[in-house]
Amino acid sequence: MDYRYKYIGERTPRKDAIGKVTGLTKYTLDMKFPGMLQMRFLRSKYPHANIKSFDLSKALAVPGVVKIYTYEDVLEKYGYAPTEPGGYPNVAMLDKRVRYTGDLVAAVVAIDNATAEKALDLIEVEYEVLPAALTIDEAIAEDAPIIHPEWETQGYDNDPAHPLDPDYVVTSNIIPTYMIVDHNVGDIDAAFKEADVIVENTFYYDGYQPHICLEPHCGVAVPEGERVIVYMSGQSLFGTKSAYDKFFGLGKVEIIMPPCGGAFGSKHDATRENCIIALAAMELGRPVANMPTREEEYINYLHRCGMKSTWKLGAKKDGSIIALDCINYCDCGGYNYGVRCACAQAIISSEMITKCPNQRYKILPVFTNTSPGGAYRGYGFFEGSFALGSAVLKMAEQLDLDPMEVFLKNGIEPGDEHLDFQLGHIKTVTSGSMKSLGDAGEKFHWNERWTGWDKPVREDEKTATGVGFGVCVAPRGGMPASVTLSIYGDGSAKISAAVTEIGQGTQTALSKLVAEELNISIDKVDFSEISTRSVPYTPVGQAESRSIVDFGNCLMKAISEIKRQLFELGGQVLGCSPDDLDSIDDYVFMKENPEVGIPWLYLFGFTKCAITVAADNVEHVDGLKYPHAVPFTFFELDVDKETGEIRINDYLGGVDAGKIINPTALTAMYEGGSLQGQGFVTREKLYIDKKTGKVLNGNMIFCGGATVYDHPEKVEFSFPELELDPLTPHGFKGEGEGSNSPSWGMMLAFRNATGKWPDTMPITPKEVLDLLREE
Amino acid sequence: METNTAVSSKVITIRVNGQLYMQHVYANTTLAELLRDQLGLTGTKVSCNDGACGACTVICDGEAILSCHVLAIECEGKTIETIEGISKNGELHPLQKAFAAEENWLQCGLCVPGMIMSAKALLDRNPHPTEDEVLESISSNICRCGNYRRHLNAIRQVVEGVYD
Repeated sequence: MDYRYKYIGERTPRKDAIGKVTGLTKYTLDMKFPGMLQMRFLRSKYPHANIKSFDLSKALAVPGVVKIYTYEDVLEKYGYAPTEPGGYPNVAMLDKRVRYTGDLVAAVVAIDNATAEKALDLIEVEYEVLPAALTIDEAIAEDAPIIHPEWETQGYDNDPAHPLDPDYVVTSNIIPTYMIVDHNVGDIDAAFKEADVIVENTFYYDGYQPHICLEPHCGVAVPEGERVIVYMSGQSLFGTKSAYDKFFGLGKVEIIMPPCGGAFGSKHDATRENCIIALAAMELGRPVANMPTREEEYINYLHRCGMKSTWKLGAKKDGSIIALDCINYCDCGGYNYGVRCACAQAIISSEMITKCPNQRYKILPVFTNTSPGGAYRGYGFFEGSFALGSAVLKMAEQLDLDPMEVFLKNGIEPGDEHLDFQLGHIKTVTSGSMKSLGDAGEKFHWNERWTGWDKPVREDEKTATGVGFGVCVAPRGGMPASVTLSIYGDGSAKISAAVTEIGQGTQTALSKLVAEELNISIDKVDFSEISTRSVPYTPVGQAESRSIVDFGNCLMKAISEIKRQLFELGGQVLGCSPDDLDSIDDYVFMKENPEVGIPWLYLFGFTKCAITVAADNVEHVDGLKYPHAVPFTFFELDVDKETGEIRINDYLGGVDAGKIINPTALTAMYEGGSLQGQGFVTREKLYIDKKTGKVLNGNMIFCGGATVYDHPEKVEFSFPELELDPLTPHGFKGEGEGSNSPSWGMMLAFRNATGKWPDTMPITPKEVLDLLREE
Repeated sequence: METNTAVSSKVITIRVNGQLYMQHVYANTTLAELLRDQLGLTGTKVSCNDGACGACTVICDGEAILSCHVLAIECEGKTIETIEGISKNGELHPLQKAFAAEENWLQCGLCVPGMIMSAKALLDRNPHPTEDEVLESISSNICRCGNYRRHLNAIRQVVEGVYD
């Protein structure tokens, strides 16, 4: 008889579903405390200006206004802090220079939002308007205004290798960065000489799409005397803490992250607003809330980065790519929220082509006087993959090769080596196979459906139809994490780890792992509160599709030690070898004679409360080897030649997922991510006025996410369990970003349908019609 | 509660989840503010405050409405149902069971109360809707996690009586 619990690969309901369907789950949005005050922000109407003076008298006279903060209250006293660990440059809570239209000018604390807003209208500010650089090209021009000229823009908190130098003069808007700017492998110039075909193009990613999380970037700061607790809608628990520690001192602010109503990458960093509420709570002795308006969400709380990518590609007649050269500019906006990394990650899209021996890259993140960009699902490689994909496809077109052949020929296999763009050395890929693309191609009937470069799948007066595919490789895991795992006499297990719940169901997935390995019911496994006071430190939280791998590896190590201790104790009490023992629920017993056993409670007796093990994943993190996955999506789409609309008829998506913990979750993640990706290609665009820096469509009506009607009707998935990566627990790989990254395949389908290549993204109806009218 | 120093106010009677209340509201207090801030019923979410996302959907006299875009004063004397009121004697409503089911794997969950109330308003009026009617009922509910196929599946399952 099989007495083991089976969770991995089985369908298990989410552990948080009941709270969400009853409306009883408390998000940060719902938190209310007695005496709670509200904070609202005055925002700059200029893209670049110095603040000369304030007159707060009329605003302060409004009944119900408790305090108004300006840079005079905070800049000198609290200085600058990183927005994430090692984040750079540092930011001040309120500064005396504004760097984008919508940048923070002042913060009003009042008894309610209406009163705060009334006060905002009465604050008088004198600005010294400065020239602004609103695009990448303007920001890198010779006479560009310097956006972060102060010395605090270089140097890293506590990094002796990069000390602050007050005499350093900043002369460029390219972010000075410790990340490697220039990468060089092989001999690129010689390679171009040998190439049979060279393709060069500059591609602009112009979407700037906001995350549109349904839950805004809210925070509530509650003073407790010794410390302030900040409840925050967030995804990186300790990531946000570094700003608070620097501003206020270690331990003065602790963070709790309740279930989060959507993050998609925008909630890694401490926001300045959520730091000022902590200060106000400390000074006023009352809870203070920041509940951003929807307009603020668009202007202020990050979006996809704009990119200008110039790729030059050299290939032989048979489609082997022998040279890859890219200069990648990334538009950070007025501040850097992890964007240096996004710029580097854009080049990660080159991991589709691990067989190319000669590569040269220049990674240039740039400040502009526009709303800051940040991480977004498919962090940099989503934006970058259009540019590289476009170059590879144009090469295939010139050589009249089936693009599938080109990717299978050049693409990644386990054991391949590639540049690590963050650390600058060569890393080994331990899993990730272009074979998954080939297999899915068969399922999609690619060979039958691809009509070649010369004609569309079908065409009539109104509609042209095309097929395409995209693929986008990225690492899955390989970042440090830590957990504490305990088992108790009542047969339960407690996981303590910085695993925030942003919708992906990672807490359920990791609970399944623990339940199965310890052979207990999943109902007996729970997480501790996601608080900086209760869980062990992990610098980056739910990000880069890594949680299952990194936290999973920690848990496997902890479980192994717990079982060792449990059976050692059991062996002592039952008078046998630990190897003779097994456990189910809270009962340790002899495998050969199950009647001989003892419950955990009695095993622990009067001497033990629990078996608790702390574990990290250091054996799996060396910066030299990483698991990878190869997500892909095949599309068939219609281009409406009259309206410029693009409609997806069907798609087949998937990834080489390794061992799957939660089949339903994987499909749900994939559907949701794909829908976002499709929106980024065809519908969604944030319009930032190129003269005033103003966000023109900052609301859900003119820049909204997909509705139910936008969901394609026919969707199919393929999740082959190819190789099981030894660096991952059980062969699991994370998922989250792979689902939208292959959306550049729609560009191939568009080319197949219309014969046209876009050089910008997105292609909304306007861009489509412009392309169709081009000669 | 918002002070709104220059705005007039009134005491209104309103029935919420079967319970009668007398509440003091300002002329510009929205129904969502009344429900969330005064009655503590935070299951109804305010996400855009602009009538564009549907997270605030509740049922008013049998009709799905966007509570962030309706004034509390307009609801005087009316009957309101929120997500907190649809389970009976501790048992989940079939729509709640369906949305919580494994095959309908919800994600961040913020759209779910509004989505359920939109569907409930349809099914209370018409227990056998067409596919188009089901789609239309949630056409004003944005789900950024992109879980639409599963939300639709949940509603269809309820129509088919799977959770009766």
